[in-house]
Amino acid sequence: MSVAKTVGKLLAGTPERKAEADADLDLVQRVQEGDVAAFDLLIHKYRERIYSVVYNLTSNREDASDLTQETFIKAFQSINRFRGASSFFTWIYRIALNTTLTHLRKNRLRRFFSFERIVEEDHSGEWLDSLASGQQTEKSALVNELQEKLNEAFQKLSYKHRTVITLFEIDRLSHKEIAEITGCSEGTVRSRLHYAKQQLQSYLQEYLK
Amino acid sequence: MPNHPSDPTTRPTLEQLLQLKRREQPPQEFWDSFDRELRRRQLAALVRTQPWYERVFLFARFGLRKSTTAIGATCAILITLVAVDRFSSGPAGFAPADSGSTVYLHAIEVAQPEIRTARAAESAAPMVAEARYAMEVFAKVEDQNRRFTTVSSPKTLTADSGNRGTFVVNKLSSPDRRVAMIQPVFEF
Repeated sequence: MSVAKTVGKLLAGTPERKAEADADLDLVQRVQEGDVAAFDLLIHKYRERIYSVVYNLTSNREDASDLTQETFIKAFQSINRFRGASSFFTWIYRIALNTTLTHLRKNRLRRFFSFERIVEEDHSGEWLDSLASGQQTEKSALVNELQEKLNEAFQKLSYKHRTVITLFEIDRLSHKEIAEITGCSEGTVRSRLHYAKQQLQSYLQEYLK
Repeated sequence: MPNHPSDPTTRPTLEQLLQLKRREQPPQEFWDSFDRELRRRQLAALVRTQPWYERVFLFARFGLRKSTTAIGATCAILITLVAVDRFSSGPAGFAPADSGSTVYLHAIEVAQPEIRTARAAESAAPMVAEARYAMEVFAKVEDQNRRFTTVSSPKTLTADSGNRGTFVVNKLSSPDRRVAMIQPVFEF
């Protein structure tokens, strides 16, 4: 199941979301009681989402891999302190964001990009096909160029704005969930999102409609 | 941009570009090596030596509750030693404001201190503890036993690298306006 589908399912409704949170809490309690294998289930459940968020914040796949692992290690080391005041999902996202922010601050003078490949899906009827007029090589070159420009534009955003647009547009979280994770109000989330989109639009002006 | 469509109407929208970004995903093989590496790092983290601040934090969270009696006894002894040392040296420790009366320290007792750690945070934070204790001082004034009781207000201690917290806990006043400063040492 793709990340987007998983997320869609997760956010389908509040009762389902609550059931997910309860299931996570059960796993956390098992870990706290010494069942270390239960933590593997939590890793497998969240690793792709955490990786995706960190990757989009850093635009570097090696850093993203390293920071995602660091996130889970920190969570594992601190799990006895988790008391369920927030959901495990919110908690681990916060750890991931803090870990990434610390990394970016430490390495702000030496930044390198390395991109993930774009997963090929059924493109029929999509904008990409119409642009590339059927030539595979031309399409790949166009996709790579757009990917590079988009990532560059993402990295020009401030960390706060990049976080909000990543969580909303890529991870498909709701305003409320983003507000819980980032510790600000829903109004602030909406405002940051609006500003981030405006900025992206401005940076990518010559490539967009 | 060599592949950039010259006709602006065929260019993507921001939403379409963001769709592209959602498709940036690692291949399945990536997760195999990710799991292996994570397992290795988890094991390494389990056997590594914890730095002092983590040990202090853990001790404060789990050790303080179990060792309250020991801490209480330590505090009582230390307070007594400090107080005796100061009071036996005369007016510097327990200076009479009114030269007409003489006060001799007879005994000092400290009830077991009640020490609480700050509310458990779910993120690593500097460890603080709050201490409150009751103290009774028995003083002999011109052959009349007087008993002064005081209860300290809550104090916040922050563990330093020596895992000891020292601070002035009390300013003891009597009706005779006699004042003593006592500095107990709390062991974390």
